Amino acid sequence: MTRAEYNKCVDHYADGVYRFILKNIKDTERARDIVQDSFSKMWEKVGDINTEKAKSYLFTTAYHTMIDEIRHEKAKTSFNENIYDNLTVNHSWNDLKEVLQKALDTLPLLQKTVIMLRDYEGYSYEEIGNITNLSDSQVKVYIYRGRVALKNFIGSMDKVI
Amino acid sequence: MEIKKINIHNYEEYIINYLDGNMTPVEVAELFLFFENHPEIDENIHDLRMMKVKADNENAFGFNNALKIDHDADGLEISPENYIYYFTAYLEGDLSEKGNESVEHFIQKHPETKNELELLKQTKVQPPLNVIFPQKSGLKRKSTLIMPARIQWAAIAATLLILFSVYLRLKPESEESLIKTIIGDEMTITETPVKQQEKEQQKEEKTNTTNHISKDQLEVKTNLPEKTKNSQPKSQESREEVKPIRRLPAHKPTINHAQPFEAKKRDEYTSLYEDIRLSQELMLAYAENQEQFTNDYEGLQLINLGRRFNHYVRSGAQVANQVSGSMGGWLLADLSIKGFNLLTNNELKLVREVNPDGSTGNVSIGDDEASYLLRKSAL
Repeated sequence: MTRAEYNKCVDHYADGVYRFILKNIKDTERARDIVQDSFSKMWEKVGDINTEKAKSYLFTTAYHTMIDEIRHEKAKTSFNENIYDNLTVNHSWNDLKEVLQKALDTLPLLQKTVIMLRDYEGYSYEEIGNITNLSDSQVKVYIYRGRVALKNFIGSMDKVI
Repeated sequence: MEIKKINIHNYEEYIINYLDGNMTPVEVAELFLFFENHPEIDENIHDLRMMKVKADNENAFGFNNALKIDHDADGLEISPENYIYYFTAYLEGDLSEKGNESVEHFIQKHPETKNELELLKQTKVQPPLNVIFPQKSGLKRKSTLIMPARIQWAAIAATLLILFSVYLRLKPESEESLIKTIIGDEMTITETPVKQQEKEQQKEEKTNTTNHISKDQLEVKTNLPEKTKNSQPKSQESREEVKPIRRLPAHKPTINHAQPFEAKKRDEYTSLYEDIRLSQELMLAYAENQEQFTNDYEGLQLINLGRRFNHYVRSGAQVANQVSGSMGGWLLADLSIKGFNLLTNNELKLVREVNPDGSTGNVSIGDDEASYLLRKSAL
């Protein structure tokens, strides 16, 4: 990959990686750092990376950096606590998009990750598996499971509203 | 249960949860997927496979089947118990065309399930396009000049050469170069014009010969164009212009403004005796070879050095001489004061005695108490 191709990658993928990370960790500063770190790592290996693989490399690097950060900080917010908070505090949603974003936040990290990679970036099971170190079958299961969880969340909100 | 990736170290925890009935069908599916990937464990839990956990809610669809990527893509096994799986596969595009038709046919048959499909459709998350990375330009890389390794080495070598040459230039001038500076240059300068004259004479002789020939040729070739005839005088003019200008090259004054030596420096002078002697004698010898002596000044001869040493002399009589190879500096000497050479403002004096015939007699250096003889005989 040349310098010009690298700079094109910045134009094409920086926003996507940033959204993906920001949605997961909800911290603009840290998300920005992770994106910068991912691009720095890609620049270090710019001679070894094909342009076709650049996007996958960026998302993989960003994802693992994010996981490391989360583990480091030992985020202890559990899935159920999230649901409870959302249901009890934020009960005035009336926009489906907003509800869905909140529902997405209630998912466990892995489910949330695979669904975002699937919906935001249109990755296949195989590509998501490469990024997250999961098998195709595992990716499929996590996506199916996440879809059902989101469906149940939206359905329950319909009842609440 | 906190969600974490099943691995070889924690799978037993999953088994316990499975036996306790605390796992969702998806977690159960993950557990069995793990067993499939680790057959050595799978053999030990054969009995576990025989156990069945009763589904207690609507999520009890066949996610075990979901572990197979192309499981029933045609949707032949869709039923009221597992339709959620097929609905999800339908939305994800995992079914074949025939499978999609099966799902649509199922919905027609079971219209109460249509709402489930609509809800699942709404789970497609749209990216928040308004969120953009704020410092994209900071991520980009500007072009930088990358020097190949060999150019870098060449640059280092060139730097070292420059430094070395500077170091050489800083070294004091040697005696030989001093001699060349004072005498050699003059010799070569006076010689050069003579040689050039000889060369020119030789050239003129040659051109005369060629001119004779060309004249003869011209006599024969009278029909030559006028341009050729006219070009001859022009070349002679240009040859005259090339003649060298006979003049001495200008020497820049080498003046030392250092403070004069004190009496305490006498010992140093003693150690520099040879250097001073050589440097002074060179100048004196030069002065003797000049014909510009002014005689009869109270019985002594005055060396009119100011005329020949005008490039070296400043304020009348101060001459700077380099002391070679020792102090790396310069000594000041006054010349031409009634035939005596004196070190400026110093108790130590360089004295030259001039013979009646104008040649240099004894040259000594010293003060009122002690004196060092430099030479006795004339050069």
